[in-house]
Amino acid sequence: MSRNPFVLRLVALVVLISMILTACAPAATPAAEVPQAEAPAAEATATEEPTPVPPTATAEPAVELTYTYPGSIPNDLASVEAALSEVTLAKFNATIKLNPVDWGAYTDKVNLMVAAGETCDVLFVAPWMNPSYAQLVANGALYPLNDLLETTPELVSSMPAGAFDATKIDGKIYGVPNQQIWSKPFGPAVRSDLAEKYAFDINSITKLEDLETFLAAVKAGETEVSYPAAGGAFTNEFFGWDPIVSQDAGIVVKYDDAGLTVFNAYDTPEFKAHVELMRKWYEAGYFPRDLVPGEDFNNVWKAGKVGSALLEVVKPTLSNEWKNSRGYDVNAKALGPNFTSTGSVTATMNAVCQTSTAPEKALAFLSLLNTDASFYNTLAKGVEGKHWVWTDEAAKIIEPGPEKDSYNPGSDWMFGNTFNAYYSDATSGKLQEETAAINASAVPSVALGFTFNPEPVKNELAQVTAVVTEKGRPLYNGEIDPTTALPEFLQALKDAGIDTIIAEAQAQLNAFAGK
Amino acid sequence: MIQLTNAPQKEKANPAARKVSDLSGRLSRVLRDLRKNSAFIFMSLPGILLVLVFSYLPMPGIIIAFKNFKANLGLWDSAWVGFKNFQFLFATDIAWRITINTVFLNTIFIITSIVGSLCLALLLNEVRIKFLARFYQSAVFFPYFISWVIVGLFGYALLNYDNGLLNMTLDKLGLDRIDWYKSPTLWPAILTITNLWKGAGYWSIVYLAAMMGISPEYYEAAELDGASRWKQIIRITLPLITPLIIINFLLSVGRIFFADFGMFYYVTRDSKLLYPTTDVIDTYVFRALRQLGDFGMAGAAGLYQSVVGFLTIMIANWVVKRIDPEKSIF
Amino acid sequence: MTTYRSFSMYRFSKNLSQWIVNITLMLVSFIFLLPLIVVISASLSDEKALTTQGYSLLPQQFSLAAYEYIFMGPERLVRAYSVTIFVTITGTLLGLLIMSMLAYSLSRQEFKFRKPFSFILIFTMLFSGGLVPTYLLITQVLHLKDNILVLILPYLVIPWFVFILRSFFAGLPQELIEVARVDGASEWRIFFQLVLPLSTPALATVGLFLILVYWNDWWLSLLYINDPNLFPLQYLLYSIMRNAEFLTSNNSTSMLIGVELPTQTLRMAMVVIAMGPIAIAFVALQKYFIRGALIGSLKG
Repeated sequence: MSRNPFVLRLVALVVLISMILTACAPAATPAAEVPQAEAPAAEATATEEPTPVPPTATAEPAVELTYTYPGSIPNDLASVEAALSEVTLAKFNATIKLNPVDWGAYTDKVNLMVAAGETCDVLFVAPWMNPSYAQLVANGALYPLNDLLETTPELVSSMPAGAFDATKIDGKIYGVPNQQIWSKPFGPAVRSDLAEKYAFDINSITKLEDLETFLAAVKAGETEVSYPAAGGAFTNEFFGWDPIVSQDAGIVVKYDDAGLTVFNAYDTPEFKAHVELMRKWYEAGYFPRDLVPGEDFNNVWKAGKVGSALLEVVKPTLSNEWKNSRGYDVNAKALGPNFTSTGSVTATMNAVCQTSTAPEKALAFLSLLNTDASFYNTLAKGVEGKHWVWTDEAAKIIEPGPEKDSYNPGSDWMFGNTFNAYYSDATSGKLQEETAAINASAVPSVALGFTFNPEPVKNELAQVTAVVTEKGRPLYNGEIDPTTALPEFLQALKDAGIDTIIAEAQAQLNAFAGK
Repeated sequence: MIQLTNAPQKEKANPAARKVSDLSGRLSRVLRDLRKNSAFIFMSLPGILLVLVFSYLPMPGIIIAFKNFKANLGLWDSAWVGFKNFQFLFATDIAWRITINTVFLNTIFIITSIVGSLCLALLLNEVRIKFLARFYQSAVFFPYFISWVIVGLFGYALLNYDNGLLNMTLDKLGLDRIDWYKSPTLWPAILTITNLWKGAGYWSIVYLAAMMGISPEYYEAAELDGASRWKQIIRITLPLITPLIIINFLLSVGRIFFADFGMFYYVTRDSKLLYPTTDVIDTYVFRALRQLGDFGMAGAAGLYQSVVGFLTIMIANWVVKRIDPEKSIF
Repeated sequence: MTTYRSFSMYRFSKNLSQWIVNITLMLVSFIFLLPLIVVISASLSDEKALTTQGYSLLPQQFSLAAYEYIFMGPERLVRAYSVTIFVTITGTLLGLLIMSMLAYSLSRQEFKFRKPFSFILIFTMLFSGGLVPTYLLITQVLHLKDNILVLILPYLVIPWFVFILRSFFAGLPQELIEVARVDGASEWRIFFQLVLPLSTPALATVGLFLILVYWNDWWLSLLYINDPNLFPLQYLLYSIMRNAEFLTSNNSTSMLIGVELPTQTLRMAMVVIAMGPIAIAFVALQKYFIRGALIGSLKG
């Protein structure tokens, strides 16, 4: 009773403070409409002066372009920044500031950066990151590039046909996709030494079930290998389903279905058969009973405790990469179809920020990263003679330099066209060619270029995501019996509103195709 | 003090002079209070100011729970959506499960933690050998340093089915292995033990310090009266640290709807089959919003926890006030 | 004869209870210390042996590889240590002063704003404005981004610690304070010259907890620090762990290629390195947990 006036006063205080805060806060950042208004202006300035500005014309001070991307901060960022800036100063009077943000901090930092309207110029974006590409676009954080791209014809021509279409949201391009493997042919990967020992020819298999002879042989013959397979797995792409809403939501369209029917991936005979297989293998003891902690995954591989992985993106460089990070060569065969989707083409991109002070220069920087091999490799591998040295310059093969530990991001796929990356050994060149061949032969999905807008069904999507993590994952890990758990899972999905999302996705997809 | 000065004034006032003396009396009283309290006001000012700036200035941000937050529009210009952000929390029957789990487990944690750390503190208080006392204090305090991530890894080493320490032991004893990460009924106990292990040392140090503050004269007097050590604990130690226990209790009750995310996520290894007993509000929100990353919906969940927690602490404080007004906190 | 016997019985029962207390505490200490021993031994183990054989009380194939790896880039570690030490010392001293002043006034019955101020504090334990407004306040109103103050100011007043201190102060013998007041001492003098010296166990406890808060914090630096020169130790270590967790939770094993994940031994070594100094601080502060000898002597 005596507290009431006090609470009232407290409320008054809070209101007062909020007013002060509003007054102090910076003027509202430009609304979503602004880009259209600004774009022609940017175009005008860009056409006025040809892109290469002579270095002597430094009447105005150089623009500093900040590039924000996830990664740990290396000891020697300065020399890489200097080497990049040297090129950009000469070409378009700009310096480069690299701003790697730790993976673990990325979500918070980028969200806050956008919310606070802080200046950024170039930003790494991806649909699987949080905030995702679509969220950033929805929040008006990215600068539409449609018109600006006319200033960088070399960038446009470097990209395969249709690549930019995949990045479009409501007809606008907001990202520059990095060229790499653009299709996700999934299949099993088995340790080469074990395959040899048990005379298992991976190329002889035609479906996942055929792996059983290998798993059984390893289970029977190896005591060191505790887990013949790393665990149960499921991906939409393996069945030729394009996950148009999100990887988890399981709302898909078949990549070659001209009718564009959106359906629930979990409510299919294929999924039922798949989880039954997983259950069978789980009960046979081929999987770890308890999931191996994610943080220890590589360590457990290195210790030789794992015999195979069921569903991996089978790419030419797979064996090399695994040898490096997990200590074993693997034999792999793609069993799923080879198709490209919005998600796979836009898997890693770089975008220009809405808050950029010089969007045309930011795009020019991205253009260099994608078309100028030496520039790209400076960012991806470091400075020549310092972080790496030539083994064979003609064949573009390099080896670690004297200061290799001070700069080694190891993420070529983040910075630009990976086909321009220098090779780490003699075989890499051939593998790059094979990768290019896979990309070339990939069939574009019917939904390529479509990006789902989750806004109208946010609540349902949150619930469905929660249901899939809780009830779906144990199913395809084989941990629970599908005869009872699968119907329960499907019912829970219905209760969570999956049908509403499917209807919304279908409507959006139809509208997209009608255009 | 205040009552002492107030009482005579009221008695003195006669009907004729009441108005004048009331006004001037009130004024002088306010002035006197201010003057009398000026030292206290200045002492509390830096702290209160810091709280006002760092906690109250951003407080209006709570409205984010009722907004469709768009980063580029900012907090004020984003559209109002009423209670729409709360829907995902309540739309399915999961809402019941997570609320009940959160409150049930936190209740157990509050009780076990207070009892456990109090017992530990009492034991530590009895040690007469200085060197040993220091050793024990350090030992029980150390688990507090180890982050939940690491605790989770230990748990895995201990409990995993294939080669966990416990299952190996069961094997040796000729008993059946237990599928720890798939047996939800075991987990309230496992989590309680973990919570106790990690936090009891911390709290017992608080209680121990309070016991150290008790004047030895009380004990000397009791000893002369022939009171046993046990009696001394019941009659002297416990009553004197009750205020601290009550504060600890009240503040924990206020947080009863907030779960320790690190513990529930890492120690259970986010095993889906344990959700029936271990899924709490914080883990559910994390799971549901992982892909959406929606500030508004996350804010809504937080506000829900705060409001219910606020009501709980008000009720608890009221109860304490009814029993002993001196011990309530506000 | 009888007196001697009863005396020995008394001694015996006293000894017996001491034995029980000590044995119980020995057992408890052992259980509580077990993981610490395991952490240290794991940090000194060979990586592969650790993965195949699991954790144990003694190192598996003794190896210093993890520590060698951490100390490979000592400049950064040294810088992070100095940031952390500066922040911890400044923050703890300042916070202790501000909080004990606040707590003392809240503990005085005659302070008129006692209850409303307590309420103001409690309220912040439950309600907060959330991440975005706080970020705007700190970066755009207070302009504290990349400023070392941002690592100190937000933790100077922690309501829970204020309440611990408040209840300690309230438990002090009030007659002493009355006597001092009658003698004409000002409230400030009473606080600094009487109350604070009487409260060393409380100050040591809260000081220790505050040290822990500052020492273990990585959240503030995650949000507000971009300058690697201002990264505190915990951020450095924690970011490595979080990187691994983030990458693995994203189901994107292909992204893991090229990103270095900490090995198990490295993780454990990081725990040890981050814990070491704080353990020393703990042991050093312990001497203040001595039965209120001061109170006794003052009263006498």
